Amino acid sequence: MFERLENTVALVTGASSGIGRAAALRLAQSGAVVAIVARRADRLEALAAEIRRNGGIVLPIAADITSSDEAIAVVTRITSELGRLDTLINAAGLMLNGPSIESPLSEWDRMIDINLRGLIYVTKAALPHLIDAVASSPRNVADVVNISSVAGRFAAPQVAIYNATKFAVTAATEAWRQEFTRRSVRFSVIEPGATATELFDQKAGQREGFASMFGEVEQMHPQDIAEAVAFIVTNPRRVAINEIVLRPTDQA
Amino acid sequence: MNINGKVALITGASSGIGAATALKLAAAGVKVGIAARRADRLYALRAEIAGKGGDAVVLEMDVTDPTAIERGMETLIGSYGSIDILFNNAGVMPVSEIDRFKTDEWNAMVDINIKGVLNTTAAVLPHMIRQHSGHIFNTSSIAGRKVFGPGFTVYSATKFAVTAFSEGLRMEISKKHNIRVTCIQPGGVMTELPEQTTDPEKRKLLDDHRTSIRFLDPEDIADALLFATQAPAHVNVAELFVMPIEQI
Ligand SMILES: NC(=O)c1ccc[n+]([C@@H]2O[C@H](COP(=O)([O-])OP(=O)(O)OC[C@H]3O[C@@H](n4cnc5c(N)ncnc54)[C@H](OP(=O)(O)O)[C@@H]3O)[C@@H](O)[C@H]2O)c1
Ligand SMILES: NC(=O)c1ccc[n+]([C@@H]2O[C@H](COP(=O)([O-])OP(=O)(O)OC[C@H]3O[C@@H](n4cnc5c(N)ncnc54)[C@H](OP(=O)(O)O)[C@@H]3O)[C@@H](O)[C@H]2O)c1
Repeated sequence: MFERLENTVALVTGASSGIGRAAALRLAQSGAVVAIVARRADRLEALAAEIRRNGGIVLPIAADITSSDEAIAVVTRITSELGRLDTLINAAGLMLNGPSIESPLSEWDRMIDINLRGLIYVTKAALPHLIDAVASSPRNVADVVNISSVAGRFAAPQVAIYNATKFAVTAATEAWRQEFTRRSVRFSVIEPGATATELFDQKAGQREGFASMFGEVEQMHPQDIAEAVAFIVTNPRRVAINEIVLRPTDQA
Repeated sequence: MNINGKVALITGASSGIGAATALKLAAAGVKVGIAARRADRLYALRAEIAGKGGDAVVLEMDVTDPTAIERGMETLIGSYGSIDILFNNAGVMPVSEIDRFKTDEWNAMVDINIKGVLNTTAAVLPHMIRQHSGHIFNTSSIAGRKVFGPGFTVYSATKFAVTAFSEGLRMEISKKHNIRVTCIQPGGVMTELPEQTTDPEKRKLLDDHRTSIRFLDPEDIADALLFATQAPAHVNVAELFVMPIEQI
């Protein structure tokens, strides 16, 4: 039932940490060639070494995808060096929650730049190649999996701009799905709840803010989200897993 | 999570998604209580499961009848001793436009699609609460996410209810009682679902739709259920929206 990904190429953004890193490892394990993208080159090299040790093929590319030029360059490099692009996992992201009056506008801009602009720059650059990949793929399908959040479904105080970017990702994914599904490019959105990554560390007080809303929660692991990514991508062409909401069982 | 040896109750197991899921779960080593009204179908399914080395018990029950559900639960617990997975899957979709006033069909949808889920959940939940574990799956639909055009109004209303009930149930019991709740939302699946539609025009529409695009196999939904229930215990797949690639 679940298919292997040999002879396909996957691009994973945000691969230097957390969910993106786990997704890259998981797709490589299913046989995909993976291009791993983030800003921290040392982290990418370490991950590349790990994937190679496991027998995988990997192309690390250090880039800041909040620049559309860099996003385009990433995709161009992948298609020229690896020949194709079948799977795009948009995992790069940033969360900077806090009281709206005290929070600097620059934090909101940074979230919009990476969570929304970065995602649409990479997706736009990838689209023609994904369409091309369908025609030459043994599986006749290409995939885009966007990592939104439960914050893309439910708004909460002090989360306004993170909510706004994630609602936008969920909405854009659904619109793209409708536009491209008949051309065999499946667009899926995963909306995770709390996952143990570096996301909460980007701003002081975020862990406390979460705990005050949900109490003690056994968080999910990045691997749990990576399994959902693999479930989506390895399903046979006819099955489009449009949306998965994943929560810690404790996160009521 | 390893599900070998667990016990499941599947309503609407006599055909379609329920029957396919019973077969898949049984193949994974789950003991399945297979519930529906058509006992002959259930006995045939039990024979098929047993022929493949699985274990199933037939529960002839109408989900609109709480007494029948209680009897079914007694048989299930008597046979297997516990219940770990509930698949609230029984459902009907008689399609007709509102101004035809087929109120018997509206009521049947409310009774089976909504009250059937509530009745079965009420009978199963005390067992899961007692053992402080369990997983409840409710079958909503794409029609539980967006309101379809003419003819689907009441069906959509019942499936929105299932989606809402699933979300509230999850909030109430997931952390408190360690019971996971998953709302499955399929698009078109090749099953007997259109057969409830008595309006000839609407029936033709349903039949035409399934020849115009490749519907999912019921096994595809069963695979999604297996993915969710095999996830580690700390992971709750709250919603799973699964469609044929050609369905918009
Ligand atoms: N963790 C959770 O609880 C949770 C829940 C729901 C959704 N999510 C979403 O999951 C996604 C992954 O986050 P995570 O939890 O894995 O957090 P993380 O560990 O902080 O990872 C974020 C990744 O994004 C990359 N990134 C940030 N800015 C970038 C830029 N300008 N260009 C390229 N890459 C950039 C980071 O790499 P560099 O810093 O090296 O560039 C890093 O690899 C995010 O979209 C997040 O919103 C997380
Ligand atoms: N097929 C699709 O495209 C699709 C899409 C989205 C959602 N769904 C949902 O998926 C679920 C399963 O449907 P299906 O597509 O597999 O259709 P199906 O083949 O018609 O199966 C429906 C099942 O429900 C049972 N059932 C109906 N009324 C019942 C009652 N009063 N008590 C107990 N069982 C009853 C039927 O058994 P008996 O008649 O023997 O009782 C049958 O086993 C339904 O909830 C449906 O709304 C289906």
